[in-house]
Amino acid sequence: MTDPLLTVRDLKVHFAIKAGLFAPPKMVKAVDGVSFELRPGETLGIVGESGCGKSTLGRGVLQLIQPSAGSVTWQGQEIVGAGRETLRKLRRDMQIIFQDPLAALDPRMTVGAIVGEPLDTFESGLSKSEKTRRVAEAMDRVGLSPRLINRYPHEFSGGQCQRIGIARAMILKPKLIVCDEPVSALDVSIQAQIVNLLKQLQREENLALIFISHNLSVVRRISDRVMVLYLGKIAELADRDAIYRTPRHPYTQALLSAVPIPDPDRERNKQRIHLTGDLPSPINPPSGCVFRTRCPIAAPKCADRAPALEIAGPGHEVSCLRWQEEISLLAAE
Amino acid sequence: MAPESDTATTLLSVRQLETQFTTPDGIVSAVNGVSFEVNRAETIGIVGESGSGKSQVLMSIMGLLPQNGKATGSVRFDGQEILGLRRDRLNKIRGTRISMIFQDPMTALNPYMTVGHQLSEVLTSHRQISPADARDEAKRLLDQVHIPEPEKRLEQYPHELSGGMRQRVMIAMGMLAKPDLLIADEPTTALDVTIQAEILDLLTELQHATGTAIIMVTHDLGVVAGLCDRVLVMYGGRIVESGPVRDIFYDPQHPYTKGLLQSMPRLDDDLIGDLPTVAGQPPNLANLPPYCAFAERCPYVMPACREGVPPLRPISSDRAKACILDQLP
Repeated sequence: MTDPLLTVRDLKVHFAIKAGLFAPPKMVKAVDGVSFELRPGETLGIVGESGCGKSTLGRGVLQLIQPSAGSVTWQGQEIVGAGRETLRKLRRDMQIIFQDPLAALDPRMTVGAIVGEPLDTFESGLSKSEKTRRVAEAMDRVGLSPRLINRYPHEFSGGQCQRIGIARAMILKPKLIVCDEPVSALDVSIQAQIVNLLKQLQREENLALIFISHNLSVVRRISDRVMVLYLGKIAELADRDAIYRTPRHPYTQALLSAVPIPDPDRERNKQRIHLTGDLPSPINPPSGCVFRTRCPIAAPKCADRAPALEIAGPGHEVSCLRWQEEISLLAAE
Repeated sequence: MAPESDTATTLLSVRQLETQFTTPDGIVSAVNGVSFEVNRAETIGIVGESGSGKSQVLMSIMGLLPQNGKATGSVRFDGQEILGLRRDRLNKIRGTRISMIFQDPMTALNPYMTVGHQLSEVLTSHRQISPADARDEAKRLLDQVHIPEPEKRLEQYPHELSGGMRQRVMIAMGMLAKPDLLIADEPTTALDVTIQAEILDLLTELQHATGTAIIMVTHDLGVVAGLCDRVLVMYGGRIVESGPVRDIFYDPQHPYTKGLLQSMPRLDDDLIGDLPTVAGQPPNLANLPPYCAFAERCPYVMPACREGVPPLRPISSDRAKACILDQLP
């Protein structure tokens, strides 16, 4: 097996928030002890509901937010706490694309300038004609006609803006792209175009992806492995098929059962696991297992101690004290 | 073409609705001749992508278009024409017989008023009821939409509630007069999937109790599959296909409907090959072609498709499509 590109160990991102004028600040544990590995060319999907810490995790890995603790190793090199110059060099290999494609693009810059901007930073010695050639090539690869090189972002649709963002991220031939909800703002028919494009670029470039999304159907399409996050902690981490076919954590099972299926007979006859209540406040998380307040199988012991990640199968980790007792909450169909 | 509406079963009848906006860039035609009916206690889904005109159909029905918008045609509610009705007359219907819920509850709730105050206000403005009774009734309503600790919630402001709870409060407000028609514009789009499922259950439960008809506008075909009796598919401000929900999902007859269904990733597909896509981009409503708006993206396009706008024509007793192809290949 190839060496991991990225190794994340016990990563924590905690934010202090003001509680009151004289009160001591409280901590929001946005990411609280997350570990995983990513190999070249692999896609890790990160799913979870709003507030689970998935976007913060992506930014913490890239050092766009300073982690509070833990380690991120990039090709063997520790990058938590690395100096600005070291990080700047690493950024060539690690890129990010965002949910709102138009907001991520400077409205006063032409598409050519936006896509070519990373070249100014990392390959500033390029001649003008060489730079134009590289920009045109990058645009062509994401399905944008190089004839549009002098247009401005507002002249493009949402799907095309996301292609511009991908072209900019790809122009330096990075090894990793963190995709933060890259298709959530797009129409269904356009989502598929972008997912297919990312998969195609990945095949061609052996690119690794961290694909952050709340959409479990999209994540299933693109991921090799999937992490389910809940309140800053890993609930379950496994290969794609294990997550979707044999989920062990009650939260994963509940999430999957809640996704509407675009098939009237199946949707109306499917079984669902009902969760009670809302996500607890991350400022004041429940004791023991953070999921227990909504968990359909919570037991007294779940309030007493936090579950550790246990091995539930090859490459399959689950964080639940009861996963072996209640292996599947839905009756076999 | 349409038989005279039978008000025993037909609650809402929309005929040749056209909605236009005057903008600095010219006239934008958001709705271009939309006709449909809603029966009592029925759930209609309107699906389409951004710019399909689906939300503007709702706003036109509700008389909520902004200053620069104008709707023409006919909207008959329970036999009465309501398009262009004076505001005071419309207000007798809105909130009591027709309610609306929105994607973002914060736009519908007053941030300066407690939940209890807002609910009581709606009750006292539509009914002769004492403030104390209104408060009891408000508490009962919160209980009915399964909000825990209703007594405590009455004293809270909207920002103190979670997104899912705010949506429940809005539904409570929308349903408190037991309206004949509830218009829901993407009511679960901003919510997490587990919360969405609970809200959809709640709507179904309330509908069974009250017999309210629902028009549900959404881009999520999964939501439509679970909730709706009939479906209207919109594209470029027109209905391109309509029919019972099972027919639309299992035997789509318009190329756009078929493309939309195929391009949606789903938890139960086989993951073989790439997702099929609908090529190209959605149409520009400020500059619609004088022919089928889907022609530029259609895999089955023929020269005749560019000779005029295809009318929505019946293809069986309860189905219609706006496509000149008789059968999809």
